[in-house]
Amino acid sequence: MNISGFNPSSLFPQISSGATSATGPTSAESFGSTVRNAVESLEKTQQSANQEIAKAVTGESPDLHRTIIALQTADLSFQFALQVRNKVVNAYEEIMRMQV
Amino acid sequence: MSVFNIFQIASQGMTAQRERLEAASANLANSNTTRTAEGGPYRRRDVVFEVAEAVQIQPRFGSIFDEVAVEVGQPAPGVKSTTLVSQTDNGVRRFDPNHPDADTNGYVTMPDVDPLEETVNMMSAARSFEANSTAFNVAKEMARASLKLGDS
Repeated sequence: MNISGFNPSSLFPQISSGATSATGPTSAESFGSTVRNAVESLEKTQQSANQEIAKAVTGESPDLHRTIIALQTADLSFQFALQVRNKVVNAYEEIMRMQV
Repeated sequence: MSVFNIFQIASQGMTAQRERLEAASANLANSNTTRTAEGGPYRRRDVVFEVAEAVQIQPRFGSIFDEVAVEVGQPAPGVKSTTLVSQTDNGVRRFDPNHPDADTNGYVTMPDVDPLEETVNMMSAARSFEANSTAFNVAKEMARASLKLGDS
């Protein structure tokens, strides 16, 4: 028996990256890589916040507010990622509760 | 145009205002300076602002939605500040024969720094800094409100 994978990006073709990946078997991979890219860019904001803190502590940074803004940016990105994660987990649990 | 652009613009605005305050305090500190490396009295520092290139931010989490975002006009530009050494300020000549830097006629050239003007500059810089930080806070509140959409 062949069960094809659940493909969320085909449900919302307007938010999938690029019209070419909206259909076909590669779109499942593109959803995964989209998530991976998103997490990597989240990691990048955390790293730049870390660098700004290091600069502020060592006295290299000329502006204190840049440090705080980097922190806030990282915070906001993380909050957004958390919301997306919550939505994904909610959807997963909803499906798992489904009666077969 | 994301909320992070607003953060960058507010950051640039605050940096520019900090530079203004720096110039004002340098002017005040040197209001009696008669000796400089290039000779002559201290010359007043003025800060001019110019429009900076539109802020290019690195892709952030959430940039995957940029394709569906409706582009509204041009991206907002930031601000850039430059500190200029006044070229018109030739100092004020004051009669003070006992001053070590007085010329043969007994006049000494002092920097043309007006403490009142610098004080007003400092107040203006502090208020503008506050305005920029308020813009940042409002942007963050808006982003937080967006994240809370659909909750409860």
